[in-house]
Amino acid sequence: MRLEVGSVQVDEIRWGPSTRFSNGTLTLDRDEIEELVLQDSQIERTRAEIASPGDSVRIINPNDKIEPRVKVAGRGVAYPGYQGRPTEQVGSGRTHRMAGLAVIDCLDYSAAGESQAGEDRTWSRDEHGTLGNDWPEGVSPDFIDVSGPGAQLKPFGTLHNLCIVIQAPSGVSADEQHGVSQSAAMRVAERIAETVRNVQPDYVETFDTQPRPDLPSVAYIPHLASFEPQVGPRGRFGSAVYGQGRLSAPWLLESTELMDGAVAGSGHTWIMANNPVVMSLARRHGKDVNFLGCILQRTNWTNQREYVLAAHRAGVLAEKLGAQGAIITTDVRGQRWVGTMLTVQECENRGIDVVLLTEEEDNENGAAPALLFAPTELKYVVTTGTGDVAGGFPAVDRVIGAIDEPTAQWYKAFPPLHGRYGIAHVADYYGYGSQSYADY
Amino acid sequence: MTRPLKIVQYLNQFFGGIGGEEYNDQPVQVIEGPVGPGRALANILGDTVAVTATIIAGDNFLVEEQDRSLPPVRQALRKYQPDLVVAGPAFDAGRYGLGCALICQLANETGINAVTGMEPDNPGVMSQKGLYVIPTGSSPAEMVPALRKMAALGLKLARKEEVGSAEEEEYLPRGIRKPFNRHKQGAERAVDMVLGRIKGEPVASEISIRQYDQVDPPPPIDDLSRYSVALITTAGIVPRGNPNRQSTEIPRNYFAYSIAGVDSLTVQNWESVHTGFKGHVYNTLNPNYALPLPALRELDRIGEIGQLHDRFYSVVGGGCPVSDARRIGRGIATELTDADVEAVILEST
Repeated sequence: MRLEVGSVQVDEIRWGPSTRFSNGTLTLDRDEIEELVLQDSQIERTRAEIASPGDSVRIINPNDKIEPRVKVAGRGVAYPGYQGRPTEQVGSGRTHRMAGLAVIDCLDYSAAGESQAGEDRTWSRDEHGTLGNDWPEGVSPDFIDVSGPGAQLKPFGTLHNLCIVIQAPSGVSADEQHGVSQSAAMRVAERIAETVRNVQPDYVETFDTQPRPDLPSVAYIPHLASFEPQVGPRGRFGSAVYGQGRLSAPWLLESTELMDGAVAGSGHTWIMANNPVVMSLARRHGKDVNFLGCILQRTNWTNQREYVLAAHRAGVLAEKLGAQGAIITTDVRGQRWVGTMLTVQECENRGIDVVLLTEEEDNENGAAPALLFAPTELKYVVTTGTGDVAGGFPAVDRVIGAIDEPTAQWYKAFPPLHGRYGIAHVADYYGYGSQSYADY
Repeated sequence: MTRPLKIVQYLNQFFGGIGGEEYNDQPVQVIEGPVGPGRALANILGDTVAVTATIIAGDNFLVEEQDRSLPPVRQALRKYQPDLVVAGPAFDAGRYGLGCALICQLANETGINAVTGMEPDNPGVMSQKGLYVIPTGSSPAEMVPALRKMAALGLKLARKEEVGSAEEEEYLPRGIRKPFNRHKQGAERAVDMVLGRIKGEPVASEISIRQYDQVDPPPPIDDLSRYSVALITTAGIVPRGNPNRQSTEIPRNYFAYSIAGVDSLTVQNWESVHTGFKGHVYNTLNPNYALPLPALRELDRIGEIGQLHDRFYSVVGGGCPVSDARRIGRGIATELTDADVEAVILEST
């Protein structure tokens, strides 16, 4: 397949009388954006906000993050299948992306109450104890600062962000709240992407997936958590492949399909369309690597036999493709690590050279190993660290992401963060940054 | 001019010039100045550093008779107040390696930095935690290159300078991980690494794989009828309403709840706070799935178990750091032992 990706650089974002893009400036009609969100009658209240790099702004309650993309030639739509969109195959023709921009839906649960009835009753975690006593109570670590030392560690700190603050609908399941919010963000992203359909991109990259068997052949095997066991087959939680979040046999996708947004959801939509592993392999395809494509492996299987079978099938696919090597990633650890390690084992046992790219566990000053567990077959790991933010977080003038005024805590300076599983501020699953850990 | 740095070196009976295997029960002796390999070390280090004393002991004596062997070592360290202790190198000699590790550990305990050298498979490497060990070959023929590396790292340690990563300073990983910027995107590094592997080039993993401590299960109990049995669940079962605000994951503590007079948990009175399950079965159908109370009551009634302890322990098994898990486990075990509970059924999630 052949895909041209035209990058339109967004240098500035501001409110104005109509939504349009011109000379690097994205002007947004705030009323139009908010009306788009409110098209879903389940959403009672919303507010659109913007935050640009260097602003003294903290974004809280972030849910999904989407880079506006539009297909200007070739089959299908950007982010196919996602939240009900058409599922026609993508990955060829031409796509325009708005570089330097993210649409973020901030889902404010405060009005919906802490616990839901019945099966969806969820208690919040004891964040105070979790983050450490030097952190204020009621603060969860997944916020986004667009200035300060933490801003460079995740993409959104360096982007212009359009934040759609949504009051979570009450009386519905958490899964439904999630889906409603992500759909709204996608409607907005789609509208904004239209503004660059006919714009001359700042630069165009062409990706041709034509095999180059004369070069070392590498497959990419990301593991994507499915929430089917928790929310059922039609659930809207979790990463989706062409909109499908279900547990399934591994999917085989071309790299260009991911660039068109074939994997979306679970807060990972922006990073999966810009997946650093996919982009690195695709850019080096034909130069020093033969990139065979992506084998998308699901996790959250409910027993070992299913995990083993899924690993076998990923191994079969990789071998059939002619993979000499594979890069493997996972998007949540815990029990998802089981499936990830089984895939590592399966590939190595078939003679495929595996490199695992992952965050690592908190070493607890030498008390704990870096990995949850590791089969003997796993020998080569690239680590993105534990999610530390050494410099801490300065106080901010503005907090975005709450429907009503957020608590005063959110404006405060926060101390340096020692990241670990479940304390996700950075959460670099795909090797976006250069931060790492080493043995000492 | 600053005073020269002082080094005390440890050598076994062989390298200390006393004799071979037959002298491995030699007691500790302390000699002023360098001995044997110490002279080569002194040459490498030059004038700013002095090997002020050498501690020599038989391999077996040092390791096996610690009540008698360690006091004179401590005494020597107090007397000479070195800036650094250098032990060995021990190469592939196992007992010598254990001895070197022991001496380094002792030095570290008294606030003195230490470095040793040995073959990576030497049992001494794993015998103590947190030591600086320079990897060597198996043969003493490599004495001088080994000493050079030990001296380079040792000087930094003696001067209390910041020590870089294991890779940068060429010591063996000590089981401690710290932030380290590799100045290249992680994804690019992964592509480089996989291509290196395919081409058969030498590539270095960024994590040296280390396993968890193994916990041996206790032997099974044949006859429970004389035992007091307690229930522990990691499903985070709590009285409905979560009165202690137990966390849904990454637990910092455990809680005990009374089940005196309760034969079965009901959804009206109990629920699970575990985040990993969203509590579907526990909270809407049957909390006993995570705490098999009715079954235990029945076993108690027919005399299969001595008695059921009247408090169960609840913790959320999700994302718990190892050190917290140890503390929580110890706490529960101590309370149960104090209550004369002899057997436990641990419902794990």
